Amino acid sequence: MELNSKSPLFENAKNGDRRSLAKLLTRIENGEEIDIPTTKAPWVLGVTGPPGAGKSTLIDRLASHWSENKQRVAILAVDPSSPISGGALLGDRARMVHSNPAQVYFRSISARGNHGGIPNGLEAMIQALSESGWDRVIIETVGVGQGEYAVISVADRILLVDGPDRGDVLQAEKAGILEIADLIACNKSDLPGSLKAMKSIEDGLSYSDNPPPVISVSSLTGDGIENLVFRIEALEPDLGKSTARAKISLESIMISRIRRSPLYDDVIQDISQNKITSKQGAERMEENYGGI
Amino acid sequence: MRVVIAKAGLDGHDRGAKIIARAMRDGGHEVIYTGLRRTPEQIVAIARDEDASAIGISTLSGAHARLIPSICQLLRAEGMDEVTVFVGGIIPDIDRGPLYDCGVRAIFGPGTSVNDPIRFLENVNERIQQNLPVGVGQGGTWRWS
Ligand code: B12
Ligand SMILES: Nc1nc2c(ncn2[C@@H]2O[C@H](COP(=O)(O)OP(=O)(O)OP(=O)(O)O)[C@@H](O)[C@H]2O)c(=O)[nH]1
Ligand SMILES: [Mg+2]
Repeated sequence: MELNSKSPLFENAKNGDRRSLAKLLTRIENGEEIDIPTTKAPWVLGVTGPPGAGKSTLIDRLASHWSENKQRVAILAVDPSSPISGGALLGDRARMVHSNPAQVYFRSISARGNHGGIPNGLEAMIQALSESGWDRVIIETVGVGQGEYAVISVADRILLVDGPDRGDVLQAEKAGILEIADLIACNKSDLPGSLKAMKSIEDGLSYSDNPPPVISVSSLTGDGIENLVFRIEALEPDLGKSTARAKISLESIMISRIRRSPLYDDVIQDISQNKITSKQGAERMEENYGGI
Repeated sequence: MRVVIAKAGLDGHDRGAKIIARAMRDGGHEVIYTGLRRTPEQIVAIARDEDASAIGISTLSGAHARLIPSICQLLRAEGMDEVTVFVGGIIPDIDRGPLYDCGVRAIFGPGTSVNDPIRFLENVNERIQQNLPVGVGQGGTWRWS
């Protein structure tokens, strides 16, 4: 059965039934398609940044701020899955201490092996949330590898969280991610190294034409959060994507589609068993699916 | 399976809960860890929002006799009868009967091998396939031993 705007699950979710909402999201996560007309552009904030930077702790602050102001906030927090067992330890929720679970909807999502891009169905989950009355949707990324960038394909506002105690705030490969952010939160301003971290982020941006603002916050004490909220509110959704964003957005969608192709596992197996070359594998996928 | 591992009340002993959470991930489950100091209401809301099939509650502080029945009751009140509830930590023998009576399907004490709760979940899965009761509100006398 297809999920559409007449499905009882969706109708109930729209009327505020959280259990139906949760079941609806599970079905989307498990691969069902939804056919719900888009009546409004969803408001989506993608929160990215290295592991341990404080993404979840900061999201807790943002969510509690907005929900106190009567906004309905939903959070989708993506964590990596174990490549060996396929299981996942979804721990972001443990950081939700200020936001009230009766108001804020929080859902932990396993990347289910989709490290290269966005988990299957993430975009449809966002749409389902937005269409059932959630004013703000916040996505927490896995924070490593491509997942860090790929969130651009589903979120039109990108907040990068970084901070001290990583020692290497400015690794060369981080330069790219600094530039795709709309805003950078330099978190943990309560720690001694935070001024140095601010400076190092600003240095990293010094060659960019249109550098995003860098804001110092402490998710622990709440310092600077009001200012950050103000800056987020002021963001114009990124309608005309910059070339860099358009590229990442397209590429990450393509990667997800390739991985979702029914041929994918077979082709991988044939390549690994030396039956065909990688190039032949790529050709086989192209012939059958025009590349997807 | 989607499993919530929960710490309820003021109990700050989280080593056992974290070990079990990791073991369940390695057993192929999607494990949601609640973090410390959740109320029964919050734990039920978390299981509902996460669409969890099972809740494992860890208590070492001695407050199990109050917190666990309250969680079981709230789950039934929410209509979440099919959710499996299991418990770990320090639960004296005399307290176990009443917990089973309110719908708990398994209790794991100190020294539990991490494989036991995983085998328990496998058993739960097999029973679900056979349409046998496993949930907190599904009745029956089945419990793991
Ligand atoms: C380490 C410890 C602490 C550490 C905790 C560190 C931490 N972050 O966890 C510290 C020092 C902080 C601590 C503090 C206190 N503790 Co203490 N602590 C212990 C101790 C020695 C070991 C607990 C432990 O970590 N075991 C190792 C883990 C791996 O084992 P486990 O938790 O039992 O888990 C296993 C199983 O029970 C089961 N399991 C556990 N949870 C779950 C969940 C699921 C879903 C499943 C399937 C299985 C499962 O599987 C695990 C693996 O086998 C115990 C005594 C003991 N021997 O148990 C006392 C003990 C638990 N503490 C006790 C007390 C009284 C306290 C304090 C109140 C002391 C005080 N007066 O300050 C404080 C309270 C802190 C608080 N806010 O809750 C008492 C509790 C008495 C009671 N139940 O009536 C105990 C029993 C000591 C005693 N004999 O008096 N404690
Ligand atoms: N001192 C200080 N610690 C913080 C602050 N924000 C977060 N932390 C701590 O940093 C650690 C990681 O925080 P998380 O919010 O889990 O970080 P994360 O980026 O979500 O981590 P992953 O999801 O694992 O990638 C935790 O121990 C937090 O308590 C802060 O502003 N100051
Ligand atoms: Mg996190």
